[in-house]
Amino acid sequence: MAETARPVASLSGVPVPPATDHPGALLRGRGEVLPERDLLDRARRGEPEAFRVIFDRHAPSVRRFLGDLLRDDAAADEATQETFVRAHARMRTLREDERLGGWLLGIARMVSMEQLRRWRRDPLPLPDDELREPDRAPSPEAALLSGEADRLLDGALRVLSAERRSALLMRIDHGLPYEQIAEAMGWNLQKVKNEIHRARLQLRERLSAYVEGEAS
Amino acid sequence: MSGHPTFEELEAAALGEEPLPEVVAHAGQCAECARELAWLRAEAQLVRRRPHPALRPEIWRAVEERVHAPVPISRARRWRPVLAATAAMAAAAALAVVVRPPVRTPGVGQGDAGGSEEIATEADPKARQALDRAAGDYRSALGVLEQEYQTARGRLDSRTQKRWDESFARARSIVDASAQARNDPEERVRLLDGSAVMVRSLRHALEDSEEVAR
Repeated sequence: MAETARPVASLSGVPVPPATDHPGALLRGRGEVLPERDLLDRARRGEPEAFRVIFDRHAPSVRRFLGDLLRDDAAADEATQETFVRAHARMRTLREDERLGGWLLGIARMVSMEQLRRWRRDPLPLPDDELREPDRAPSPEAALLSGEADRLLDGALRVLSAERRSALLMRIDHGLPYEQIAEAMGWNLQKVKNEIHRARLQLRERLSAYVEGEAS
Repeated sequence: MSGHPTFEELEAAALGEEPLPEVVAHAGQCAECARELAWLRAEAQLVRRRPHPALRPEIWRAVEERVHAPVPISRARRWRPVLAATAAMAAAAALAVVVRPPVRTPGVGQGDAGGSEEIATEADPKARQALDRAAGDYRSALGVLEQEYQTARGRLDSRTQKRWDESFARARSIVDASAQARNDPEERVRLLDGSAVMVRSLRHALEDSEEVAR
């Protein structure tokens, strides 16, 4: 995906050393997969390598989620950073029965909402007729593979409100159960179901021709 | 399966979440459910097959730098009065014990069965001085917190600004009231307790507010 001109203030640009050189390798080596509960216990005790493993496991989906909400690569990178800094500070507040993935997406959603609010307050100086969608163009390979479908889907997702899009993607893209989405969104279960249902209807309206063609 | 599966059951099957065999079997015989399942599957496939954005390694580097960064000295210094006021909270709580129990003196209705009693509280000069000190500490702490908030106020939206402004106004009114209640130690302790709660809440809210901390 293309980069935008928006700066990422605090990114140092220094490449991360190979996996075996940093402490996270202690937990990730030998193909070991640490159960989430143990990982959380270790992270809560302040073990930096445990937090690194959490980052490695969850950052890709957090980054993808934020890219979908903010639709700007640099802002999504910065928001991913912010999400994990907040998660680190609040690790002790995570309840035993709460799932890490949903909890992180909940934080990410809050971070993205703050960013969207800032943009509403201080919009970028873009020409009136230009949408702020500078970096959603798929790579040429992706365009060859699924150009029309992606374009339709992208347009369909774009018209959803940020909240509705969050809920829908938490369910379809990230596989969160409704209860976790309710927790992450701060909604009741019925509202989650209603919003996702409405989001689906909007999506179907735009995708019907393509999906029915594929399904038949 | 007697009736149609629920939407959640069809969705779980479409998203690959342990589909019930009977749901899949039903969809094999029911055109309506088969169509719904096909829709849900296509929709999920379309959403999930989008390209995954690359995770830039600089993100972890920046997170690591930030989570391990010490609190800047200047901020720690600026917040010293707030920490002092936190200590004053303990002092105020201790004073509440020193000042109590109140001394009961006969009032207007003396001699009446169940008559009223005027409750006076012992005004120990040491306790009064300590309460003055605590009130002063809360005032300075509030000043520091408000200064901190003012530096970030412009970055907040109007609704958030309003909420913070109201909280500070309320905290100021409680601190002011505690200064004015010098002749009523009981009331003063109560107001100082309130000041303590306000200062503590505002401090935590400021510490937790990333927009303010930026």
